[in-house]
Amino acid sequence: MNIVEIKDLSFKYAADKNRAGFALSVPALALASGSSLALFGASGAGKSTLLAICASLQKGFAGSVKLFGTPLNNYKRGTDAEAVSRMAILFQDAPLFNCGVYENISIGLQIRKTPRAEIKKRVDEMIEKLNISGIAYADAREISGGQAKRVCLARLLVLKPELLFLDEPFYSLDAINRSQIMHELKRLSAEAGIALMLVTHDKNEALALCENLAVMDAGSIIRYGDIKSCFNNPMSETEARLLGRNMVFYGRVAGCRDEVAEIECGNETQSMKFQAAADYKKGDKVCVMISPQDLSVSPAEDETGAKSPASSALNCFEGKIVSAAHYEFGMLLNIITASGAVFQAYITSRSYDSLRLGPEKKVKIFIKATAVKSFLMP
Amino acid sequence: MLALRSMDIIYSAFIKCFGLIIGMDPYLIEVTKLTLLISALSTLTSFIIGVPAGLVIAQSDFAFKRLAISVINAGMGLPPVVVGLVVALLFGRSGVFGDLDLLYTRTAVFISQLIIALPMACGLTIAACGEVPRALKLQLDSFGAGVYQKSFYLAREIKKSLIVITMAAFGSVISEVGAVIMVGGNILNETRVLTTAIVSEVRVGNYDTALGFAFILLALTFAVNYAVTVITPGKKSGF
Repeated sequence: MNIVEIKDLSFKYAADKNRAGFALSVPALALASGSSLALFGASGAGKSTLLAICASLQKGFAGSVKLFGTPLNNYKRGTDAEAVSRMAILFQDAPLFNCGVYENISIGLQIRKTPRAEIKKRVDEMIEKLNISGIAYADAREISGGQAKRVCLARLLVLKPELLFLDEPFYSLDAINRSQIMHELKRLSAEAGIALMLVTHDKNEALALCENLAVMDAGSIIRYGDIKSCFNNPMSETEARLLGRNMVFYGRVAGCRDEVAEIECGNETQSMKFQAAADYKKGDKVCVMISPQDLSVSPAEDETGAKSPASSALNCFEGKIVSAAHYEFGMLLNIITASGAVFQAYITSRSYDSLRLGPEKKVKIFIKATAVKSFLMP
Repeated sequence: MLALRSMDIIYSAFIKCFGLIIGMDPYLIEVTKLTLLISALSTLTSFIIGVPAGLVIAQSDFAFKRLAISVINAGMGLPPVVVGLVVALLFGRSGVFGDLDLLYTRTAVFISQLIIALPMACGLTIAACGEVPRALKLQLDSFGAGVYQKSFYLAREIKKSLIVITMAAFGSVISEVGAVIMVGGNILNETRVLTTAIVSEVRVGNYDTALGFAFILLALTFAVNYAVTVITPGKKSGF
């Protein structure tokens, strides 16, 4: 059963001195009970607006949006409370009310006129589950950002919602708190069978919490489907870039054998030949996309001067490390090949150190044909 | 010479002031009681009407909302003399409410003070609500809070501002003189309050008595503000 149903939704606001004009258009989208969907895209893509419309917080749209079967077009807050009482929203900031933690957690239940004994039971239970008993009677203004986010989460989960809207909920949290709260949320929502609609531009958050993905760009959903398949098989350049495949090349198919296509890419300044696991006709115009995670790097020569060993990867390029920068899980290398193409590769710090890599070092790049994603161009 | 004369007046005023207070002068007590009564009543009424109205306006979307807020804000800057003139015209014998025979009564003074304090209570409440984080308001919406529930929780969020609003409204009405004289007539034991008493004493050349009243007015204003500050919720008051 679909708990959110969108049909021919359009929403726009005109530009003024404070903001640029914006138009959102979603022909169809649905979220089934107990499922999870990530609205993924860059800032300004319309993710939060779409979530606000689905959560009955944004009016003035055209088309049909139903929340638990209730049309939201002429929704009156306070009087048509049935649909709203079945959902909850976790915002980007952790807005806490100017009172104690315990009361903050119980506010939603108070508004929904839950009996006092039931409020106490549910709040005590949630404090226990989220491990915040140490701050239960603290002033909400005196707790840390991570604790505030837990309190916000507790405040929503005590409502026992069937659907949880999450608007970039882990923004501004440090890595440890983000990871802990994300897993607590995943566990508690799975236990209670809560459906999730998550707005994010973080691939890891989307993968950790959701099973479906809607990629948004400029107010439209450009891709919808199973999250792993979307991340692994982008279908357009925009989608590829949004999903982290930031190396994109255009070319023509030079030949195809055993379901491996040889694609010649290049322009006046650079030329590359890729072997991609795909079945094309000679002369087809294609776009090739590679993700930094799919590159493997080794020194062009080891310390004894011996060439690096052969690899099963069908794509092998020689190049030079231009720069190396630390990132969350290791190093990001920028490598320029002899033909002038620039590649990015993520490798672990351990590999970086053990292979004695560094700027100016000559390296070989290996890419498996199955990691080279491509699609036909019009 | 002039400076010495002024110092003499101030010194004499202090003596007179303490003399009046210690001696529980009936004139002073009556004027002070009336001042406190009318100012407190008009402040309280403006709070009871203005704050809920401000809370509802702040969270509602309706046509001409900006215009309504502009009118309320303009009301905060209303010249008291103009308020007095309008009230005098409305409640004068030939006015719309002339039959009520309220001109030169305490009720007329109360009404004029209310007209001065009401836009202040309403306008400052709207402004204070604007400072509440948007996410907090949206959170209330997402809980399904209706207008009255949302108003309650918003009021709780701006409780410190509400105390400042009360102080501002009380300070403005207790120190008001133009409208009070115009609609109250400065009648002894009926509509004479501290400000109009000061005017009367100056008119007859009793500068020391006038200054004595001024000291009492200042002391009252300070005492009320201090009391409100002390009972302010939060850590050791003082905002």
